[in-house]
Amino acid sequence: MRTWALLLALAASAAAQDLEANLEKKLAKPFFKNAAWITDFDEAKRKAKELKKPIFAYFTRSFAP
Amino acid sequence: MVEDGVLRSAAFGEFSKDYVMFLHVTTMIEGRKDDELLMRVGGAGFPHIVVMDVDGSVVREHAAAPTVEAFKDSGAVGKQRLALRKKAAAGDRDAILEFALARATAGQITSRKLAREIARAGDLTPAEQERYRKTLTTLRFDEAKIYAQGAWFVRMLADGLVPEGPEKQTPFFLEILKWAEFSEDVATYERALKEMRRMHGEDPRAAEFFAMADEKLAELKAGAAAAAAK
Repeated sequence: MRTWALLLALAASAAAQDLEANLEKKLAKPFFKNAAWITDFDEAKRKAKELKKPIFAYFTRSFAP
Repeated sequence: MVEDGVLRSAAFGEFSKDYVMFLHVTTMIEGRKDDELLMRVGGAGFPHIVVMDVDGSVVREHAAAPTVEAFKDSGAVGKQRLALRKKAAAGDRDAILEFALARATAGQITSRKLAREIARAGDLTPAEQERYRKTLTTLRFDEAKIYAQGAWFVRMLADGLVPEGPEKQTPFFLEILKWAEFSEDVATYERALKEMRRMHGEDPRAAEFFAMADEKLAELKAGAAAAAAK
C-alpha cells in the first residue's frame, strides 16, 4: 500500500476555498480541451465498457504546482 | 511541463481517440470522491500515467518519456497485456506464465504472488525456469529495498522498542503496515493498523486510508483462511 498520501493528507493545511480554486484553475488549462477527458472514475469505467476501449489515465495534482 | 506541452499537441488529440481518457486530479479537498485514487492505483508521484482495463485495473504503467510516440508504445503494450490476461484467465498455460512474468517485471505483483502464479503454470522448461529465476531475482532485490525499513521496525516492535509520539510512531507503523501486507502477516498488519487508528482514527482526512486498510486486512484474512483450508 502506498502510504505517503496519508502523511501528505495529515500535513496539508491549505484552506478549502484555495483548494477548490486550484482545481478550477487546473481544469481551465488548455490541455483539458485537447481530448475528451472524463474526470469521474466510475464514468470513465462505464464509458470504457460501453466503447470496449482501454482507459488512458493521467494523474496530476492541483494542490501544488 | 507535460500539460503545457505534449498534452496540448494535435498528435495527442489524435492519439486520445483510441482510448477513454481519464483525468484524475489530486486536490487534497476533504471528502472529495476518489481524491486518493492515485494511492489506490499504486502511484507515487506526479504525473502518473497508466493504461487501465475497463474495470479500472492498471495493465501498464507509462515509465518512458512523455511523448505521443511513447504513449502509443505503452498503449500497445497495455492492449497486448489485456489480451494475455484474457487468455490466462481462460487457463492458457503459456499465457499464465507470460502474464505473471510481465506483471512481476512491471512491479505489479509481489514475489509471493509471482510464485503462486508460476505454480499454476505447472512444470517449466529449462528456458522458462531461467526467465523465472531472473525475474524473481530482480523482484526480490527491489523488494529488499522497499521493505527493509519495515522489517527492521517489526524487529524493534518484537523487542518492545516503539518510538514515542505520533511524529515518529506514524511512519514507524506505516512501514510496518507495508511490510505486513507484503509478508501477508495478518497479526502484524492488524496490530499496526490498531496503532494507526489510535493516533489518527478520528481524523476525517485519514478516513479513506482506513477504509483501504480495512479492505486490505479483510483480503489478507481471506487469503490466510484459503491457505489454511488447503
